[in-house]
Amino acid sequence: MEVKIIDQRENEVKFVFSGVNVRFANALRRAMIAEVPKLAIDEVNIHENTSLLYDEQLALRLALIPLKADLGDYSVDDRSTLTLKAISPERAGYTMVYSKELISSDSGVKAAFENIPIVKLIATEREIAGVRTIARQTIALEAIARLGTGKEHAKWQPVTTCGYKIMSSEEARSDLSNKKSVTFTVEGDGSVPVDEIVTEAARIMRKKCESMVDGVKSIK
Amino acid sequence: MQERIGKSLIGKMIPVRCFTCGRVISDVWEEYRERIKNEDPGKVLDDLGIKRYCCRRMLLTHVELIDEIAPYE
Repeated sequence: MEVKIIDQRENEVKFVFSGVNVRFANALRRAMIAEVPKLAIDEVNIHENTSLLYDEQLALRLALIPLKADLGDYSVDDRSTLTLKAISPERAGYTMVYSKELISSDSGVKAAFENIPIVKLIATEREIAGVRTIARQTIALEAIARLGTGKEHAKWQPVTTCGYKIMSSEEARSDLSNKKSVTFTVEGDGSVPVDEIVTEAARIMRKKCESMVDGVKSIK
Repeated sequence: MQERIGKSLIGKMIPVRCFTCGRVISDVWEEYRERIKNEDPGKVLDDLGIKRYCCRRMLLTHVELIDEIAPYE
């Protein structure tokens, strides 16, 4: 088995995996998609929401924001709280609320992208019976992030594109041992570094194999 | 009727991620919207690093409705 990195960028890696079974490559792909844990907002306590979005829409938008965190500090069911408070301006106009405005209780947790628009808070001027009033919109919420995996919900999936291509050359086809070369393309969503996704997926696969070996032994 | 327009399920704001692949696309929306006023949208998307056509259509076809809806809320 041999690994050769062809191209590595900030959020993307391309590598050739040679001398492997295709089913092994597929297992690695599936582990990267569904088994590698990451942090994502799972519960949102909304104290106030007079914005144009429903509470549910707001919660969904928050959940899809990739969160960067030092995953070594987290284990299953650990939680981290983020708060968000915003209000539209005093004069007619608007304020856009961005992902960078999420304030985390844990300094290690932050949004991977700063400029994701969450909601636009609009202040409208109304004139009723000669009296001018400004209607302001506001949101105040507390979001709880939890460690999860992609098999539960796509928001916990650390990769976006993650696939492989079987390299078909003449010698590979004549090779009867079923070992082939595959080219992997892995693109992260920004929350977990790509190299960490690949190694963590491999670690998870090994752990699963070991537990299966143990299971078979215990039958005897 | 006004209430129905205001609280409809139409995407009022740019989706956070691409529907198909899950890449975050909303962070470049505002820059994209400004730049297409005097640049070619395809070239802007290339420049912003939006490669796949699934992600490109997210920005290319989006209609921001939140401002249209605001008066009816």
